[in-house]
Formats: sequence, structure tokens, C-alpha cells
Amino acid sequence: MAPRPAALSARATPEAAAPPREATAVALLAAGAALCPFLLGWLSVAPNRLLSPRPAELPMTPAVGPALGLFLLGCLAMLLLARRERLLPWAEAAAALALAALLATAGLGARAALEGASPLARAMPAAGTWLSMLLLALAAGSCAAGRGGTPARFLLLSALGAAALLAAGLLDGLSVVREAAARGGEIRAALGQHLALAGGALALALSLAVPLGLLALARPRLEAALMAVANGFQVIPSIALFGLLMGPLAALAAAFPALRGWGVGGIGPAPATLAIAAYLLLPLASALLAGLRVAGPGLLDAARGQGLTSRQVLLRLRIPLGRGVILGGLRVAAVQAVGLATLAALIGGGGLGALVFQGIGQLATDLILLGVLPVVALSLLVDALLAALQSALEVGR
Amino acid sequence: MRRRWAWLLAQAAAFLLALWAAPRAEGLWRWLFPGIARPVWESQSWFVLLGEHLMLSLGAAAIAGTIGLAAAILATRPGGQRLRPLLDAVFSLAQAIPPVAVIALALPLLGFGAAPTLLALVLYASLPVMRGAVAGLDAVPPAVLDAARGTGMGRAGILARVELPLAMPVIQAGLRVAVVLSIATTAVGAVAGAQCLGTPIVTGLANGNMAWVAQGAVFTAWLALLADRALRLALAR
Repeated sequence: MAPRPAALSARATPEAAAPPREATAVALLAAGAALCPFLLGWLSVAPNRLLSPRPAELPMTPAVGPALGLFLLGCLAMLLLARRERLLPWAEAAAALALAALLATAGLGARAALEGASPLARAMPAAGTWLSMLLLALAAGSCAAGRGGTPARFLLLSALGAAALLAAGLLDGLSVVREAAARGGEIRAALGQHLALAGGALALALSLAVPLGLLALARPRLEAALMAVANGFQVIPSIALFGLLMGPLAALAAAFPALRGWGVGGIGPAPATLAIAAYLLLPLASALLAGLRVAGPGLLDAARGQGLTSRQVLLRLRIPLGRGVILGGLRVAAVQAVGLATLAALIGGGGLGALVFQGIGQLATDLILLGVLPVVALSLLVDALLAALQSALEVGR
Repeated sequence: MRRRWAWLLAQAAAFLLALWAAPRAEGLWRWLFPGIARPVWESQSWFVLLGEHLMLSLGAAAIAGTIGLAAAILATRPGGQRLRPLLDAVFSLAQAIPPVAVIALALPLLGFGAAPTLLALVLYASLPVMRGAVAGLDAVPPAVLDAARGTGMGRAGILARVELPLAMPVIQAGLRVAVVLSIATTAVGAVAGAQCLGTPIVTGLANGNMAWVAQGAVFTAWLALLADRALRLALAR
């Protein structure tokens, strides 16, 4: 992709003074994030868990004021810092500061709003606060876009900030935090199941994709067949594949009751793991094959000419040269596994999806959030970890 | 080419025939699912579910195509380059959030029915269109643009008669991904009350009726595969 000639760009200011390309997007998002809660509301309060919430004023107590000020300051700092290329990482940190201050404002505001109300009353962030959080995340993402994607600094700092606020009890007034406290054990169990589902599916898919990919490297017909099957799975809607696997597995368990001891059955984690693994075949196999082909034919010829066996060529040439690409496929597959595992709860596979679907059934926003927020956090974490590993490997080359 | 179209039409006819036959094949379902008292799905006609499914997913794909293409055109204009980082950020954030999560989060705001699903569909389907169109428009060689300017064409003329036609194959590939994606994601919308071919799956799971689950799953998967094949054929050059 050739860069557009300089004549096309509207401005011709000197390089040093020109704000980076990210500046406009970050400025718009920062302004939007600062305005949203004022325009669309900070808090909603409901008389109890079942009644629908109504918009409420943000109570301006002595505790809320500084948090609100810090939030606005964070937005302003982000806008200004993004105007210099080398300060972009600091703009990302300012976004994390603004997010933590926004959370503190909502938490302290909720606590003040519930003062004197019945113990059943609940307070939650209103649409404006949610939208502002989304815009802050997008602003951090825009800061990181130039450097290849994941706003790792923002994610790390806002996770630390949120954890500190939770530990200090500042968020206790928010209904989702109360719900989480009441269901602590349930959430931990669901998280464990979710990790087991995603990890199990990833391991299963790897155990198929790696040997088949290695075999297919020199066999075009096997490669075509592997890719056709892997592509075919991508087209089938996940919910349908989950359903399709239930019947045969139930029949299998009925025919061989011994299998039930292994957890094989129409309902439960087994069909879910199989279905998730089916979707991971394509990213894993295609990245593996592409990675192993990074070493060009000339290089391979030279290596063979030096007397390297095909095993040595694989271990010393193909894998070291292609590991960045291969790891990229693993990254895509791992993030997909975390997302797909949410649907496992539909067929009794457990995981965080169980909270989501329970919340959908009761139309309980807090319960939906308790399922969705850990899923999003988990996939961002997996993505950031594998991205860090990927760049570490590429630097070490 | 013509034989491939005939083959596709035959497959589509077989699909419609199967939809017509499903409620009439009580014996088959009883034989396959002996333990289930009411194995035949009779709550709605399969054709109504198919129509709703197609209307929702194709409608969403049309909206998403318009949004995605407009965003891509904007982001590839000289002044719009500044929106690029935002588009990249939206893209990478969307990859961390599964569509079912968006449907679930939109549910308390928009209520049961097609609306949460439509929102998620438009959000997710516009991304591949946007990405494809940006890549396609970026790949137009600067020399071609210079030549077009040299002949005295205006900006709009260059866009309509040079850039878009040259980028069309990549844009169409993005559209195909968007349509297949929205047909698949519509099925998940059944958990939020959208009427579609996923409805028997979700109803069957809730009632422990594996026969309904299997019928819904077969028809949903069949529709997705048919749509994928039809689009590949239509866009083949």
C-alpha cells in the first residue's frame, strides 16, 4: 500500500509543529466523553431491583466535586497531550485517569443519591456515563492505533484504577457492584468454567490444526481440503452448530454409557467445546501455514544445500521466521474462543454466558453486565497478553 | 457458470422443499427423537421464520453497507485521514466484544424483539464493509488519480468513475462477509426475542425439546451455507 503523495494532504505545515494524525479523533472523543454525562444523565435510581430506573440528578456533595473535576481535567489533558506525537502514550494514560475519575464520580454520586432512601433502592450509571466510558475507551484506542493497536497502557491503568476504587469501597453504591458482592461465588465459578471452555477448545483446536497444518504444508490437496472444512465451519452460525452437535453426542452417550463419565453428552461442556474448537480451526491453520511459508524458497534451498534435514529446516528456519505470524493466528483464535464460550451456556455448558442469559430472562441489567463485563475484560486481557508476547518475539529476532 | 447457477437453484429449491416438508414429516421426527412427545415444530410456519430472518439480516446488511461505505469514503479523502485512528479503534474494540454481548446489553434499553439484534447486526456488519472499502480505495494507484485529475475530472467524478469502480472487487468481498455475518448473527438474536430461524433452537433449548433444536439448527446452517454460495457465485469474475 503506497502512501499518498504529500501533495494530496491539505496541510503543508512543518513536521515538528504539526499535531499527529490522531489529534483530531482524540479531541472529538475527549470532548464527547466530557459532554455526554451532562447531556444524557449521570445516574439512574430505581426504588427496587424490579422497577425500572428513572434518571436522577448528580448530587453535588463535597466528595463528588473533586472526582468530577478530576474527570473533566483528565478529558482536557487527553485532548492537549494528543497534540504532540511523542506525548500520545501520556494521552492514553490521561484517558485511564478520566475513566477512573468517571467511575469514582458515579460511585460517590450513587452513594449520595441513596442516602436516606430505602435499602432496596438501587442506583446505576445512566446512558450518558456509559457512553462516556465507551468514548474514553475509543479515545485510548485511537491513541494506540498508530502503534499497532492495543492500548495496553490504558487497559492496565484503568484496571488498576477500577480495582483500587473497588477496594476502597467508593463504588459500593452502584447496583452492579452490590449484585456482584451478592453473587461472588457464582461469578468466580462461572469465570472458571469460561476459562476451561475457552482453554479446552483452544487446546483441542491446536491438537488438530498443528499436525494437519504440518502435513498439509507439502500436500496441496490436503491443504485445500483442510481449508475448505475450516472455511465451511465459519459460515455455519454458532448457535446452529451448538444445536447440531447436541443430537449426535446425546446418541453417542446413550450408546456408550461409559462416555458419560468423561462428560460426553448432548448437554454440557462437551458439545460446546467441540463447537468452539471448530471455529478456531481456520485462524489457527491458516496462520500456521502462512507462518511456515515466511521462509522463502531460496532460503529453504540454501538450507537444504547445507545438508539440513527437513526437521532441522522446520525447527531452525520455518518456525523461528514465522513465529510472529503463527502467534498472530493464536491471538485471533484465543479472543474468538473467549467470545464464543459465552454461547455455551445456551446448551448447559456454563461459563459467564450463564449470567448473561439469566439476566436476559429476568431483564436484569446488572446480571447481564456481570456476565458481559468479565467477558470483555477477559478478551481484552488475552489480546493484550498475546500482543505483548508477539512484539517481544519480533524484537528478539 | 450457467451449470453452477442451475446447481445453486436446485439447492435453493431443495431447501424450500425441506421447509415445506418439515411440519408434514411427523414420522421422521418421531423416529429420530423417540423420547419427545411433540417433536414437530408447529408454532410458526417455517416460511414466516425464513422471511423474518432474511428481512432482518438483509435489511441490517443494507444499512451496514451504506454506513460502512460512507465511512470508508470519508476516511480516504484527504481531510478525512484524521478519522483513521478512530476507525481502527472501533474495529479493535468490536473484536473484543462478542455480538451476543451487544445484543444482551442493548436489550434493557431497546426491549425484547428485533431492535437489539438489528443494532448489533448493523454495528458488526458495517466493520467488514468499511475495512474492505478502505483497503480497496487505498489501493487505487496515485498515478491513476493524477491522470484522472489531468483530464479535468472533479473530485466527485474521480470518486464515482475511477476510485469506486477500481475498488469494487474488494468492496464486494467486504459486502459478502457482511451479509454472511449478519445471517449468522441474526440466529443469535432469537435469545432476545427476534423472530428468525434461530427461534426454534432457543425455544427448544428452553423446553428441553431436542427435535426443535435440531430442526432449527439444520435450517439455520443450511440458509447460511446457501447464502454464502450464492454470494460467492454472484461476485465471481
